[in-house]
Amino acid sequence: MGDALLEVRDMHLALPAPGGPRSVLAGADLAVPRGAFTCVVGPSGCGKSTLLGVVAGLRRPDRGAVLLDGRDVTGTTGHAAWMAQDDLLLEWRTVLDNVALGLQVQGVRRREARARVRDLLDEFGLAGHVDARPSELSGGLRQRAALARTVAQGRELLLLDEPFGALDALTRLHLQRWLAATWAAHRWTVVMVTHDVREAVTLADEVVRLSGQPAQIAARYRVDEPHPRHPAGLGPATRRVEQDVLTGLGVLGAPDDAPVPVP
Amino acid sequence: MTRGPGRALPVVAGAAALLVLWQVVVAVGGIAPRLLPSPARVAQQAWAHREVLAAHAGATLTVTLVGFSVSVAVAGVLAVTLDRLPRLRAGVVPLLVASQTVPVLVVAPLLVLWFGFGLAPKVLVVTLVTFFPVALGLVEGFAAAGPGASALLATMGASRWQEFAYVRLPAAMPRFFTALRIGVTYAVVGAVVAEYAGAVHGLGTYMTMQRAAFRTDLVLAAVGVCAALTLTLYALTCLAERVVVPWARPRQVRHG
Ligand SMILES: Nc1ncnc2c1ncn2[C@@H]1O[C@H](COP(=O)(O)OP(=O)(O)O)[C@@H](O)[C@H]1O
Ligand SMILES: [Mg+2]
Repeated sequence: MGDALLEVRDMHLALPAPGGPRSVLAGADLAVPRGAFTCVVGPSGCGKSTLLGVVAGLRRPDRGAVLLDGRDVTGTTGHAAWMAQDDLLLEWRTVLDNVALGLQVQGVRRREARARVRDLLDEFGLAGHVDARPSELSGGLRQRAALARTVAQGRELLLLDEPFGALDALTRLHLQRWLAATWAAHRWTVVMVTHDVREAVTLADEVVRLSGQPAQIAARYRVDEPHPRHPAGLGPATRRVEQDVLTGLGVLGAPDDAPVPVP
Repeated sequence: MTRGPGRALPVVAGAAALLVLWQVVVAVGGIAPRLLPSPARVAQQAWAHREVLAAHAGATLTVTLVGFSVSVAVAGVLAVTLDRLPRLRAGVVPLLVASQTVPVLVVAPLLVLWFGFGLAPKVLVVTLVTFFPVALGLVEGFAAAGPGASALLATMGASRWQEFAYVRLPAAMPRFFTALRIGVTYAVVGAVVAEYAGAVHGLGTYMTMQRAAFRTDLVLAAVGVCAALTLTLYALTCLAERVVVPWARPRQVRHG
């Protein structure tokens, strides 16, 4: 616990709902070591995005704390690079200017910001689309651009909310494989929300499963297979973890002993 | 989507056909020029009086541009303020709509009564008729940014000013230019109406004088100049839009 870059302690949050505030997070704890990849899975609508938003500082929790490198950053922003479920590329900026946005916000002049992120665009397979507008990109390229923009901020912690959630299955496989390799080369500290268990066990050192509403940590699963892994070539131990997570989510097993949670 | 000269062709052909029809009706029917002059006569008289027409058009153009600039400036300040204060916005937007129901034809003479024959009442009329579309376009444009992009900027540690400059302002531009195009067409008409109500110079004044002198041809010539002014300003606005909002026109289809 001591060497964790990110610690989330006893997170509680209620959100307005028809008929009064409803508890969405009810005591979530996380500890993510520096350079580790953590995936958060859970039933749809259980509070995964909300949890990520609280860590990013978009919401202040009712109770609990977010610690970055031991420093209390609860309710503040600017300490983590967040990528929303929606890619949120700015239509009026080219790919290069979108990726340079974070540095500009940090006060780097546009010219220099553009120069500094150019290499990243090559690495993210966007070299041929530097001056394209987001509307001219395919879904896969849009996600790459949004990911590049997240990484380009130079933060130690990346928060990714279903980055591949809206992609077709084939593009998704490509990007999962690519991200696995790219991450293995850089070792950013990542917390990634996904509803794809295969994706989670391909990328993560630890998979955290949330219970249904209100969200609590239901289980943690370690994945020890060395990186980078291939989503279509996972080892038997990793496949077993995948089965365990799916069982925990109620997707595997007999329907009557493990009812599928209704979102 | 067809662009360029191909799209203008039917418009030009239609207008030409109408002019020919008009010319023929006047010639065959033997209609008196003071009732309905032929287009050829209007054109010929417009050319003969080109210097006077140009002087009056210049006066109208000044009123239009000053009034429209004031309108855009005030609308900008108001829209930015309302964007910052959402609770105020809910109350003020209906007032903006209500301002649009004020009959300008009735108010214009009153403004002349209060402010005299100078530039002020005419500028005020132009501002009144153009303010609503421009202000509403900006207010809605700022709101079009959506909460997602603002949240993203917040996580980056952006200041409110950065969020405005990087997200809300550019997001508002497409709607702003739509509003500008509508506003600029109202602006010329507003200036002419104001001059009608009482002025020394301008196309509105000129039309009043020529109508009193039963010079229907010159009244129509002035109408033609008004139309030309409006179309020119509209075209300039479209041009500015292409420069400022290039992303609204994708250069090519999706690829990759
Ligand atoms: N801004 C909000 N106001 C009120 N309720 C919200 C808001 N955002 C999300 N919720 C509710 O919180 C719950 C968790 O949402 P979310 O975190 O988006 O779920 P997930 O990402 O796991 O699918 C849902 O029931 C949702 O309806
Ligand atoms: Mg979500």
